[in-house]
Amino acid sequence: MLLDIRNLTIRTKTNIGTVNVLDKVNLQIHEGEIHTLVGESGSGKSLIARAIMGFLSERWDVTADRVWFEGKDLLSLSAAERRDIIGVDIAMIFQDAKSYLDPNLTIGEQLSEAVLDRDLDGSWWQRSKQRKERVISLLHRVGIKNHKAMMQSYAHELSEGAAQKIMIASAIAHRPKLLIADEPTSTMEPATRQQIYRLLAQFHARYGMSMLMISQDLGAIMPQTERISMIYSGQLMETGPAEPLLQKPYHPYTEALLNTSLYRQAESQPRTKLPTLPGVEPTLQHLPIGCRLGPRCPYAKPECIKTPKTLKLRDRMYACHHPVNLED
Amino acid sequence: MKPLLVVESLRKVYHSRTGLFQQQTTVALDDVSFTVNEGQTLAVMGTNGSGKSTLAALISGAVAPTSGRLVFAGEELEAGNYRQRAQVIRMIFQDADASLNPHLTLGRQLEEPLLFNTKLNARQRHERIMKTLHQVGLLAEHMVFYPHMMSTGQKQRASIARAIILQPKLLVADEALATLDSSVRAQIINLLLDLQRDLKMSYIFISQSPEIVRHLADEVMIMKDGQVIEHGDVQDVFTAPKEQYTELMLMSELQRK
Repeated sequence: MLLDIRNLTIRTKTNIGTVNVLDKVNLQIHEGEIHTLVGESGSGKSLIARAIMGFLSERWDVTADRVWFEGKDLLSLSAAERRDIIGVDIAMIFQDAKSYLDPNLTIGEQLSEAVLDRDLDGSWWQRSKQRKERVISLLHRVGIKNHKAMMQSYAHELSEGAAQKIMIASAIAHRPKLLIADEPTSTMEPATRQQIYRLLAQFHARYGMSMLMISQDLGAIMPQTERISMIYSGQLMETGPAEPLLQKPYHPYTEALLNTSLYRQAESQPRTKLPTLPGVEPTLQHLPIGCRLGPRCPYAKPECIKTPKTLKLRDRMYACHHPVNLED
Repeated sequence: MKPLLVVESLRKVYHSRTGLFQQQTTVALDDVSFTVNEGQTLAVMGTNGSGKSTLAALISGAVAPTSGRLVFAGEELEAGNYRQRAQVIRMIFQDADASLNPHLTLGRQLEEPLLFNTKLNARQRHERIMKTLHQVGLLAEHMVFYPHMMSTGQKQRASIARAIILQPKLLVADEALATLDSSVRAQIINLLLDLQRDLKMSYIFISQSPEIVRHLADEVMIMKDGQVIEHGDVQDVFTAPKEQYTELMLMSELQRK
């Protein structure tokens, strides 16, 4: 088990008091696994990633039974221990790659910052030469052949795909054991998205690094995904291996999302209405009691005002009183 | 069906200075002509830099064409004349964060087009705003929200609400559905189909997603380097693309089959 999260709860203060934005979320990532976390905007999927990285500010109160990375508790790290893990063993890439690059530095300068001094040896000129070689090899690894021009360009000159490649290059500089990708491709055109997915899959195959992909669309997830977790409004709905989960979702929410996805409805009749969940996702001030999907769920019964226990069935887990597709 | 918008040999050239006396000319749009009928949906596809956003800017009147003309319901459109357009042509942009005014609450923001373009009184305006918010899947309590208090998907819904609140004849959507959650996107697609059926609205959809185009559009126009390289019925173009470029654009869908 590479990353083991048990009962992660994140609270924040709102005008109606303290609210559990994230409600007892469990997430396990094994070595060498590609895990995709799917949820709509505002469901708290980015909060999980930020809690793992320790990016959350004071106004988010993070508690958990455990957030273990290789047996180390990530929530109680000292600053020195944190430096050894975050950015080295756990790296992260973001949705809006361009805005995460420094506009004042060239790409070459930024990438050489990602190469740590302790990985180099010799006198200072040997080190600087090694540093440059490392940067060039990083660029080659993400498929940028013209490294000279790229190292001299600034962030604003890059296309979205190229900027994301630079982010990936600096993220893999230390061969992280876990790469967290927070919607890395959601604003890209389909061809570029495929390219980024291919690149990530390549690194996964070569270094065996685990990945936590975060996505908002079940139809546009990375094809190589092994496990999928569904999150809705801060509650984990369902976890399981990708193929069976997409073929036969247990949770009504997964089923509903699959129905609304245009990518999965390739044979649908054009200009017909798509089946959707009624209503909107709740605001933080009006979170429903019990199962938060309750008010929108087509199968909801009175007992849904109690939070369902997470049940395990072989290698799949779901939290629902009335799961679908469970007959066999 | 009456033609609603007729575009005749539209051309747009940008000049950018590269030196003291040198200038570089970029042809963003080259001799584009098409017609959008009432109640019809036209999709425009193309990769980055193919001129599709320039086309949207020209239709919305934000940019003046170098040559060519736009005729809307028999009346020629002038660039910069927003009075002429405001009630009949509305736009939805890709970047919802930047298209809403950060100083105004959502309620005020939706009220502005009604104030300037209709003679509704305060109560009718309030009712219309509530109805429109409900249509796009937002709640009445969102009226007091400032844009920074909402997520990107909600902001996009707010800008869709702002576009449809005046019940325009033509809606130009520039990658408007790309950043939405799939369940919200499905709701918006249903809403757009409803509006088209009830109000005979026409849409110009600028999109890179073949799935959305196939579901919503009647006709599709493929653009490359400012030129229309293919234009026809969605089914025809999707099943038998003439150009290799079109095939590449549709690749993401074909791969899944």
